[in-house]
Amino acid sequence: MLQTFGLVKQYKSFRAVDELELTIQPGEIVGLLGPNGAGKTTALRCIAGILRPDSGQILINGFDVVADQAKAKAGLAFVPEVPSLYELLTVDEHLRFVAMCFKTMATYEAKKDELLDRYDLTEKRDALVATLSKGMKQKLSVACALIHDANVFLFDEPMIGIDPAGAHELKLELVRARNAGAAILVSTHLLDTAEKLCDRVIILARGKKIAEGTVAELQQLSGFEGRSLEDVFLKLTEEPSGSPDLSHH
Amino acid sequence: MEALIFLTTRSVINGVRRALTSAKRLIGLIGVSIYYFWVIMRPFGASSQSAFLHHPRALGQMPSFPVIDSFVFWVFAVVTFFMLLSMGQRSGFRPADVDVLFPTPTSPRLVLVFRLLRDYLVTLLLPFFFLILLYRPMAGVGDLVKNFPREQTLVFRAGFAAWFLVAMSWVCLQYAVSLSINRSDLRSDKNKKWLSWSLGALSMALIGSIAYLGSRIETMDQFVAFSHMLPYRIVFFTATLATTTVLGALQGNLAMIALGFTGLGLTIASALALAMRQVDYMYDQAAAQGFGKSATRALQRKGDVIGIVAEQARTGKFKAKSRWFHKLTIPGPQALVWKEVIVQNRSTGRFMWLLTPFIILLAVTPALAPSRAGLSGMLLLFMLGMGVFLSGMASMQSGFIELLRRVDLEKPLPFSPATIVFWEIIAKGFGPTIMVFLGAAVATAVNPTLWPYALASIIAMPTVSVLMASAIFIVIILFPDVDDPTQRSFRGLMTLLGLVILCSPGIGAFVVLSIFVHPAISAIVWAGVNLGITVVVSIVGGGLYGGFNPSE
Repeated sequence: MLQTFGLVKQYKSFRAVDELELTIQPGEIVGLLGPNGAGKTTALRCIAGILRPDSGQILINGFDVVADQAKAKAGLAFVPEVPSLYELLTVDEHLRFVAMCFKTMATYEAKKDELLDRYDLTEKRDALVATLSKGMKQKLSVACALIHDANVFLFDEPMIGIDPAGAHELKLELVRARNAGAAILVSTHLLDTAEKLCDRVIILARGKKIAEGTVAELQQLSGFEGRSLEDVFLKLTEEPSGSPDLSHH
Repeated sequence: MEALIFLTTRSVINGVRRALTSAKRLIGLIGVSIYYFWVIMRPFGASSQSAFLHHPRALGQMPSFPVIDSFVFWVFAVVTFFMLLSMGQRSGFRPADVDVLFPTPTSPRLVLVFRLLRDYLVTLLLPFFFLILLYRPMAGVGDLVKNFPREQTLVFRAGFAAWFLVAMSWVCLQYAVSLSINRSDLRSDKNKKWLSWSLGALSMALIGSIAYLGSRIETMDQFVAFSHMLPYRIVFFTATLATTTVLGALQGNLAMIALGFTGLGLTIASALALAMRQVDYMYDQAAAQGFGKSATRALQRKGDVIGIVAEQARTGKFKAKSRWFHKLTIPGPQALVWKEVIVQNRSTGRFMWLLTPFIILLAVTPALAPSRAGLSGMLLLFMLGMGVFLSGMASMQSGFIELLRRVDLEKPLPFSPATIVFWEIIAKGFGPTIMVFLGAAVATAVNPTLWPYALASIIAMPTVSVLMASAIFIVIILFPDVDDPTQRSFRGLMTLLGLVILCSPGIGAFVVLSIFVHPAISAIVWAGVNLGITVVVSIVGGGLYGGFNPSE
């Protein structure tokens, strides 16, 4: 389970995330939407323990990400938007390194082969990461997220750069993880994917949560019933100051 | 810790294996090794070495303790000064650390300890670097005191023991300060500015005072007095403590040894405690601010000025201004020249303007020299050629890196690869040409008898600039791995070689012809030869550019 309470992250005088409250229950996929610069990546990085929040609290499986980092991160997997990987490790070594960090070497061998196979990386297992294509790197990043037994997943634009087969496999992976009881937060610009895949959607603008709910709830609240999530999103984000505050729904 | 050791060792092993299994990288590595051997090792056997370094006369009497103290102090002070200059720099995390390592449950304290140890080991090797560079003079000093083997050994051992602690002090101080001033809040931003200015002022004051006072030293007593000046002993406090340790060992004074070691130990302990207290900010600082600087540093290493300006623009530190020539309409492949003028103006433009007075000075020097017009004229051409070389080296490489980076943008343009390469080469030669014109004009104004050579330079130098661009392009397209440091150094050497090969025919033709005909007419032939070579290079380079695949 993932929870944030009054999460604030500031870069010098710019407030990138402003009092963000969210809860993601086990067995739930939540989409994090917002225009460019809305604070999605910053929020995900704070949750992943990469950025230190200026105020607020983040709980992963009940453990505070700041105060109890190791326990909180043990159940967490993070897939960044454009993954920067260790270029001088091979694919195999990269997975091994992540497994060592998470201390899951007991299940590593079996899981590794399965993941390499699932993401078409078997032939590349001894290739340096530096030689992989962008899509392959993205697949490796996803494989790294799955190599340990996480139950909270953070995906930042996971479909970008992946071929249709890989994207399909990833969607199946998300559904599998949800069915296994994982709490999943996916930041994406692909609104149709969010509409089909996510149980709920959170919309951010200028660091603030401006709306939250199921697609049907957002349609109703924005007065755009029966319309696509894209229409709802555009309506809610076009004039943030004038848009209704739907964050409590 | 096991995971971090695994990451480091595998990265090093794979990196070495990669370097040794790629022909181009291997050539680069061999080239760099030969170059350094030539530069560093060769002078040891050359006759130009001073008699002192070859046959130092061994001292008959042991130098006094204050003299030894002074020499030891300055050895440590020089190292301390370099450490001081790097104070507050970020701890060098890579983007992969942020995306892969930071989200794992690995304790930040463990990561910090590992990095401290790793940086410490690297810092410990610093004396070996100096040893390689300054082997001969150091051996000379060793010969000088060879009559005192016991003292020599004592100083050496105590010096090394002190160095172990000095290195650790500075590594810990580096992290303590970096973690304090590189956070994403406004306060640490202010602290960082304050520290940068203070360090800048301190460095200038140190360099200035050492140069000023050092130049007035005539006797050993004055040197000793200079070395014991309190401000230096305070600023280079780790050098002072290390010197105390060494002198204590030499004099058999346990109190001095204890004082030195305790001082250094306390420095380490307090800096380490300070760093550990801030460990929770380590990831934040690397993720929030590290990318910009590390990206800029990587670009600086590549010599990618355009990339640096683009990075500055991305972070809001650079704002583009519109100039009159931005509004020109130039159809066809000549538009590449228009594009390049704008890009150069925004990237290397500021540097070129700073370089202009220097190049004008170069051009004026032969105009003021009291010699025959012919000789001064040739000297003027040489100086302007140097100007083209200096400004070209500053701007062209970066421009061609940009060309290779934008291959997806330019290759689809409706021109042949050779046409693109030709106009890109012409475009790169544009900036240095302006400075040649200015230099020639000022030189003629100072000494009107030089006008034939000034005219010759106006005719020929633009083509020299273009030819230089050709040489740089050919080398970059042959060795396009801008991230590989061995290729970078090798590319520099190859560029010089390429310049000599490409420029020689034109220069030879000009020198021979100018004996018989007017310099301006010789310059026309020179320019023709240069343009002919440029066309050939464009055709060959076009073929290479056409087959260039940035993904390989």
